[in-house]
Amino acid sequence: MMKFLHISLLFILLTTSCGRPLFNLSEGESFTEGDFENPYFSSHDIDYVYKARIEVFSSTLGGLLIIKKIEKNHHRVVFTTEFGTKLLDFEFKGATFKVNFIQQKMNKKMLIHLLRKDFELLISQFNPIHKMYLLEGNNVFLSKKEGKYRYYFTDKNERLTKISSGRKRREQVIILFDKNSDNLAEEIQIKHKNFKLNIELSFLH
Amino acid sequence: MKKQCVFIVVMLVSSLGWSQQTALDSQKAMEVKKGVMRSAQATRTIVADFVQAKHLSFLSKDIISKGNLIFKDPNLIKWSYSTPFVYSVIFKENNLLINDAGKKSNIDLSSTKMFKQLNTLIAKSIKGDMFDEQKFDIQYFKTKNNYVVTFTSKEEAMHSFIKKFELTFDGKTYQVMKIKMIESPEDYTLITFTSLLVNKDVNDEVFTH
Repeated sequence: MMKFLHISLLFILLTTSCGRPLFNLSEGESFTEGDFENPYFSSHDIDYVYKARIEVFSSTLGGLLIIKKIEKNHHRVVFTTEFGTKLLDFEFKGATFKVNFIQQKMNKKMLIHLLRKDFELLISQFNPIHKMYLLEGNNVFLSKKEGKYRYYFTDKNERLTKISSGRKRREQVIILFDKNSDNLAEEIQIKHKNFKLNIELSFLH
Repeated sequence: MKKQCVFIVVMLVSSLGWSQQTALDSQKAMEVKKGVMRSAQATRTIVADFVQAKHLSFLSKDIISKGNLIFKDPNLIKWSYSTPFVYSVIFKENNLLINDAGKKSNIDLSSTKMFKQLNTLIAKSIKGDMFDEQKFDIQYFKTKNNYVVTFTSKEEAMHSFIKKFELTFDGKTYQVMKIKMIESPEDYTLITFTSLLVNKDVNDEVFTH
C-alpha cells in the first residue's frame, strides 16, 4: 500500500511538473489541433539573402547566408564569403539532411550538428501544436520535436517574433525576428544560451 | 521534313555558339598571352568600379553587389563593397584586414594555405598574370571583340574552392575586364570591372586598416 502511495505521489509530482511551462505563461484558449506555421522561409518566390555574422567561440565569420525553399519541405541553406566563395551548402529535404559542401576548416562534426539544428529550427515551416499559452495577451504555441520543447511567440498582429527551443526547464536556443512583415523577417538573431554561438542576419534588398 | 528542320535548327544554334566564342590556334594563343603579359608588366596600379554577380543554380536571380577595387603592384588589393552592404577587405602580406560595416578584424592567412593561395590567384587574375602552365590547364578563346582565357587548376585541393577561372581581356588593350570564378558547372561568381583606370597614383595609406 505504502509502495503504491509513493508511486502515486511520484506520478502526481511528475505530471504536475510536466504541465508547468518554462516561461511565465498562462493557459490559452482551447484550440483545434493543427500546425503553427513559421512564415519566414515559406515562399518559393523569394531568394532569402542575408548579410550574416556568425560568432563561434572565439572566431567571427562574416558572409552571406542564402536560404531558398525549393519545394514543400525542401530547403537549401548556403553560406558564402562576401566574395561569393562557398563555405557551406546544406540541404534539408523532409527528414533527410545532406551536406553538399563544407569548407575544410569548418568540417567539424560538432559545428555541423549545431548549425544543422539551428537552421532546421529557423526554416521549419509546419510545427504540430502541442499546447497554447498566453503571454501578456499574445499567443504562444508549444510544439515538441525530438524531445525538444519549441515555443513560438507571436505579437498582437499574430506575427512570429521569437522561437525558444530547449529542454523542459532549460532554454537552449532562441531566435528573434525583427522588422518582420507577413512572410519576411529582415533582422534575425540566433543565440545559444549554453555556449558562444551567435548568428546575426540582415536581409539584403 | 521534320528531320531537316531539326538539322537546320541544330546547325543554327551551333553556329551561333561558334560565333560567340571560338578556340584560338596555338600561334594566336601565344600572341594573346604575350599581349596580356606585356600589359600586366606595364600595370602598376588599377582603380576600378566593379559589379559582382553570384550565380547559384537554385536561386531565381543572381545576387548583385557593387563596389570599388584598388590594386597596387605586386600584391596589395582593396575590395570595397558599397551596396547592398558596406564591407571592405584588404589583402596585405599574410593578412586579410576586414572592415565589416565598422567592425574591424584581421585574419592571419599564414595558417590557411588554401585562402592564401586563393588570394594570390585573385591578385594575379586582376593583373592578368596567371599564365602558369605548371599549375593550370590554359585554354584561349576569341569572342566578337575580346579574348577569353580559362585557367583550370591542376591541384585537386583547389577545386573545392574554385574549379576554373575564366578571364576576359580587352581585345585591344589586353586589360582584364571580367573575372569569372567557377565553382561547379551551375555555380559561379562573375566580377565585371567598369571605369577601369590603369597606373593612376595610389597612396599606400589606402591599404591601411
